[in-house]
Amino acid sequence: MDATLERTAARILADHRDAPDAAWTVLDENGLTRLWVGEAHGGFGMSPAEGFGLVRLAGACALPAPIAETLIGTWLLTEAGLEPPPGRTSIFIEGWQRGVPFGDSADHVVHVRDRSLSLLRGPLAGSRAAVGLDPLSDAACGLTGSVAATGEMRHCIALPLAALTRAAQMCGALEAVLALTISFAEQRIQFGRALTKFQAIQHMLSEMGAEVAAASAALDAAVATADYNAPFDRQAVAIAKFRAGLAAGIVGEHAHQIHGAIGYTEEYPLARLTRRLWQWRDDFGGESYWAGELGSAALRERTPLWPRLAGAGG
Amino acid sequence: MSQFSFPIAPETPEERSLRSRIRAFLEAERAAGGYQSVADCWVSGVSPAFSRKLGAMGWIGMTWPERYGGQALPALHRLVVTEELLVAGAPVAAHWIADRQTGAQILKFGTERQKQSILPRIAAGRCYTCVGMSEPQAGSDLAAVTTKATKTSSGWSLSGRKIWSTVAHISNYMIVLARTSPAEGKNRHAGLSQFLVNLTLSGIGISGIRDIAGHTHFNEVVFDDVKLTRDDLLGEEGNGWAQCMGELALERSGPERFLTTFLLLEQALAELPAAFPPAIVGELIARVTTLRIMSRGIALRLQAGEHPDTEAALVKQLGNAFEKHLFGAVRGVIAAYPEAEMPAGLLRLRDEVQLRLPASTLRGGTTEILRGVIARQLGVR
Repeated sequence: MDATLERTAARILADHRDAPDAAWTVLDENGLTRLWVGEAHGGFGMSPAEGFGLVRLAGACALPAPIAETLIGTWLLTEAGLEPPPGRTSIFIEGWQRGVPFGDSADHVVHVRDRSLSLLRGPLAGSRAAVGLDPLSDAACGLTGSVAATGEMRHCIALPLAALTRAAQMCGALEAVLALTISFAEQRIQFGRALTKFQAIQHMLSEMGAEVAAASAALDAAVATADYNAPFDRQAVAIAKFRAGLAAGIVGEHAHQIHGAIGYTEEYPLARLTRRLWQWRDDFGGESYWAGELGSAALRERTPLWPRLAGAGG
Repeated sequence: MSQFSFPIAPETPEERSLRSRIRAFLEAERAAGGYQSVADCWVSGVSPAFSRKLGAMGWIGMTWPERYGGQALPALHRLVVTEELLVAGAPVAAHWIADRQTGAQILKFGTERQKQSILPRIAAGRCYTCVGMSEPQAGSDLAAVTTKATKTSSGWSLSGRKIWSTVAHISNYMIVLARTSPAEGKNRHAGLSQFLVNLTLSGIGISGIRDIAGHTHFNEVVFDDVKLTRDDLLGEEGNGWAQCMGELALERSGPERFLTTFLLLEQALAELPAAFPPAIVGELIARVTTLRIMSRGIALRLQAGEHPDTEAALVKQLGNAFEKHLFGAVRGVIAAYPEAEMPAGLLRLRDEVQLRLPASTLRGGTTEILRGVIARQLGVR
């Protein structure tokens, strides 16, 4: 991510940590919610990596605002040649969601079926808090808003875009969980010493660190392949979402174990992160889905695996 | 932000063409009976003849300067070569350690004479080396080494014993970590030095140790008042610990930490294509690809002169875990059938890997040591 952009975003997110509406407004005023809008529609010509960097930062703050959904919506609209409207946007990818995240406060919802896209006016009626804390509107009875525009996307990008965005949010949240757990373990005294002095705790933390590093490397590699003018590299996306989901399981489990009962309370900030990790890992295909897609593609050709993974030529 | 850094760089056309060339070479060698694939080949497959062929192709010491027999190629080119050799199960054990770490140490710390006399021979696949770190009473606790080098009028006298030295029995040189002065109070890392020891000197005894499968690849090496010259000190006196950690980064970060059993997966997929649930194969693909991304990032950083020691420990730990995961997955698929229905060759390879696997999380630093290294980087140790 561009260093200046990153500083700006990090400052806004830190300043409005406990005021999600204010955070949204300032991010929006600074154009950060429109990083994926094409230049033809008034965007800034930012590379895809900038938006993934922003949702990663927002994921670390567990900010209850539809930043990721709005960014995804604007990319999909641009892909369909439509002008992204201002305001909060959510998404509904047919076949992949039951709920529309932040539907109850969305100005618009981008509804995708394969390559067809409709832009619906929001907000949707009603919502419930799922495992991920953020409000979900029931798509089955909610998608009744009037249609503002329709279009056709060039490529089937909705699922991989949404999955990779979730992987980026998860990497941010994973890093935040690790940092929170380390600082807790440094301060918590039991048996007369800090938890970090216990080798069993050090090993759990190092396992968490290794999972976060692996998820982050897989994400970076996938983000590097993202291109507004091409379909996604599904293999890279699959690996990133798989690795983030795997890390969410291990990191979440160890973080709660190290925190003890305090981490199991509503008040303490850990659950804000872990609950979203548990939601996001199942959104837009969980580990088994993406591993299955990778494996099916590999098995279909009945050729050795290695040449598929390591390309040769020239 | 993250405590670890793994830069991403796309594969270049040069790398892809190099990959084609080494694949064609390996295919031709195998077809001509030049080698038989083995699991864990960088430890188990000793063939000086094959090493010389690789040397002649320019695939040993390829990152070193041309005046020392290298080709001054990027570290990522070496990574392409090592990946292909491991996946093919080629017999590369004779020169592997010399190419991976000893050569680099000599290049960094050796005298001009050592560089000129030893590096071109390594690059030609004719000179082999081994690691002299562990001792009978100093395993994970490496700073407890008691092998001692004492100053004499003409250089040093070396006494002590090293153990678990892979390929020492065919090696020309060993880099020995020895104590040259007492620890400074609690700082046991002080007072250690590295020596480049010619294994043909008198006073050195090398005896093989059979592993659980009955193979002899590692050894005990005894030094009894071995006379070394001043030039045999590698690098700086007292800087042995730091030099050793740099050497371990080279030792830990490569694909031999996650590709030594890949041929078991390939063979199982070829022989039982319908038996594998796609998600199991996909999970292995995701894990190994992530490791390749990370290993590539480390190669880029090493090339830039950085010290990704912790990242190397991290890749080794995740890589070893992946190899055990791969074995568990393949074994699980095979175990769903009566053995009588399974191809005999596949069962042989499974058993071979089973007997090699316990070493992977021990050699080059145990899982527990690596977790400690990672924990230190996280600031909790």
